[in-house]
Amino acid sequence: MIFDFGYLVLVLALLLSAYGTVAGYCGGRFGQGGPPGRGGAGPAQGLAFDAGSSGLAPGLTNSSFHAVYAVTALVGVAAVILWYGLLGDQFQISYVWNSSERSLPTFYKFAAIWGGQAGSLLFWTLLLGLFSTATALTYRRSQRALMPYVNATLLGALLFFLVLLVFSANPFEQIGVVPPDGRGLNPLLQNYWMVIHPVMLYLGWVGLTVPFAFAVAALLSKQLDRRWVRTVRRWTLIPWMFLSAGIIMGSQWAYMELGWGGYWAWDPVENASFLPWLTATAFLHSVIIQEQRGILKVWNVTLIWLTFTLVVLGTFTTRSGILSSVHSFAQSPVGPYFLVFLSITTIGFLLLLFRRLPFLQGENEIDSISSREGAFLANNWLFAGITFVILWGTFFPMFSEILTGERISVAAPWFNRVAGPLFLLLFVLMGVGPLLGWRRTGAGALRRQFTWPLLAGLVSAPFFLVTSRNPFPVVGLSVCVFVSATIVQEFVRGASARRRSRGEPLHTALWGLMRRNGRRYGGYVVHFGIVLIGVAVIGNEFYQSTTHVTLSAGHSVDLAGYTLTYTDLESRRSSNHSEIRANLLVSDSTSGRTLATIAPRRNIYDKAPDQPTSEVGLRMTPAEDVYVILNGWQGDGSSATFTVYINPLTMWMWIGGLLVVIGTVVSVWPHPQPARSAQTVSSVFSDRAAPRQVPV
Amino acid sequence: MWVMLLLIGVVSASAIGFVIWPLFRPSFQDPPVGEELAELMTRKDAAVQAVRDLAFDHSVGKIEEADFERFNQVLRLRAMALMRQVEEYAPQNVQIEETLEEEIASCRRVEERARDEGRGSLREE
Repeated sequence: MIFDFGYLVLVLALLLSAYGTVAGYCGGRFGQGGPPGRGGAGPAQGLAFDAGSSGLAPGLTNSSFHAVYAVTALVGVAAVILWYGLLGDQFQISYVWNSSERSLPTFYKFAAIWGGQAGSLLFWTLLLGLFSTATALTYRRSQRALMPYVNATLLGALLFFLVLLVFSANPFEQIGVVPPDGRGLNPLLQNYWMVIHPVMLYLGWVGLTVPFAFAVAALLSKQLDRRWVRTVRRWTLIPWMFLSAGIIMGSQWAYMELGWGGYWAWDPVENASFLPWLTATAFLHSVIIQEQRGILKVWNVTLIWLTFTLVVLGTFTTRSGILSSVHSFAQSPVGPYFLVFLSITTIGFLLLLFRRLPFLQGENEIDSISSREGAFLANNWLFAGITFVILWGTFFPMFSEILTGERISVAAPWFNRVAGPLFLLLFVLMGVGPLLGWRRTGAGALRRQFTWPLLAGLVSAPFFLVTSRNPFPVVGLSVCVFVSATIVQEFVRGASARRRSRGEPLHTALWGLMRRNGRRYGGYVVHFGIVLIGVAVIGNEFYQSTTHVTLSAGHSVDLAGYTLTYTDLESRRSSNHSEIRANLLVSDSTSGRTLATIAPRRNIYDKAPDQPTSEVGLRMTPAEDVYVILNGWQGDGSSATFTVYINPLTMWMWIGGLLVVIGTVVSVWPHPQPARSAQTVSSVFSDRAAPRQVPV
Repeated sequence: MWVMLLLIGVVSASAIGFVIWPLFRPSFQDPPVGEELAELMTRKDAAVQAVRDLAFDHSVGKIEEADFERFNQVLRLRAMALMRQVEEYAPQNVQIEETLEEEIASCRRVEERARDEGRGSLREE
């Protein structure tokens, strides 16, 4: 009964979201009372916009806010009911039967809500509702003109997911009988990274709906100046951070669980999360230009739309079975729904954008290509190029099948060969951009700014040449040194400027920089995190050693300075699976000193005995990882077969990911604002003879 | 069955009532906040920030002296022009008037100083 109630609650949420979409749109439309003042509008006209609105408009607008809260609450109730079913082993529910079992640890029972199609759609809808509520509560007062349309767009997105849940992927569907046990959660998903990684990705994907909603609202209301851009910057950074964390955690999961020696395979589902990350990153850079210079307005709304579209496209890819992937959901009937939604949003948005082009004229022009905005522009072109390349490679099997009838996939080497050089150029720009000032950087300033970072990059190159004759890693690592040097230089010079103007000690000056200019310096921390990820990628891609070996007990294999000795095989039993683990001693080949004991293992799940999972044996250090996969064994443990990898510098990927998150938090964190009255007009308009005294 | 129907009925009535309630109560638009004023404030803040960024870039050696002089002048004039536009709205809104008072006073002092230095009057953005 409770599950029928859950379904009816979703139906009610669907009806209210449909109503709220219309109410929000009408509230915005009637409240607008014609085009708001722009182009010659004086103060009186601006105020008349509020006063002259229809009497019904405030009611409709407020009603749309209430609809957001009500839909979120109802979806929350439905999610709680499904969690009750999962935790209470209610196997009469098809979803619970398919995604859980009695002996599944509670931890995974809770996470099973995002382990299957219908549950994950419900979870997605819940997160979207929570984001919508947070947006509504935050901007209820301050964005009166935009919020009715923002509510309408967010409720429209909620409506789509509720249509899916009600008509195509009902999480409360019952199977008529009560089976004694469930079929169990996919063994690959029974890993702690899989508990947190999808949540992060969903928070990223879902959160990116908010900037899209603001872009639509700005276009509909014609309020296309700088205020909405400031608002969406933070609402893009937060989901961007979650998406970054989700991608890194997904890589960690692939590295630990899939057992093929790497962390990124350019799999369609991996690409599905990476593509919106690329366009969101491009937007985060280009939005700064719009804030500073009032240009790139069309490009920025296009990037927001593209990001949202790529999120939907990625979700469609994952859930329709259109492209095969190691972790996509099975073929399901939701694909056509996504295509329809994608078509409606794309056509609707592009038509709206076309109609609003006259309102999106740039206010300035770029003064010089040798400026930060010039570097940001180039960075945007590169991001767009990389996005296109990856999109093309991801969907090439589909295109080839349509055109030739033959499904041809492009593999990781193609992506590395085509996207690799573009990423290298992007890294170069990541170093160049921060060294340039806004508007124009002259020859003298260029010389001053570039000398030390360039020297650092060039001096390091011979050291890297010793390690490899391949030019790509040498150039790549030198570029990483160059970028790191620019970041260090930025911190040193910023702190020095602050010390000069305020006489602070170094550590106080550094802390002050981060606190007062968190956006800029948080961004540098993010850049450094990306550099570390780049270092890890180069290490893994170009310096990896591997061997495939069968060892008898007590025998060893040598690889890249390590000796691995197989000692014994043991079997253990957990609640829902058996573990077969091989114990190996890792020692230094030269000194013979024992460094660690590692135990690669295979988990054989009771519900999926033909789908054993690999849990790698790992010794992780900053220099390199010893990474061992157990491939097979003799029943008595007398011998076992292993694949051994030595993965240099991989640990820096996870540290880099952590820095990306920390840097984003610094960047988003509201820095202390002086009272507006004191906001430094005194400092900005202080004695022009002493510009170096301007607080930084 | 009846219990469930009763339950969903109560939930539906509550949710629908909550959502449509604003339509049936006398609701007024908030006191005029002035979207244009808010936009102007944002533009003014951005202009002030641009002056600060330029000064910072100059202080760390990213902008040449001649470029700094040129851009600094333009940006300051733009910021002050925006402040003057904000001032036009300020009498409409007590809070903003209060919060801007000191800012505008400072702006005037700078304007006077600029005039004394023979920089001429401020032009619109």
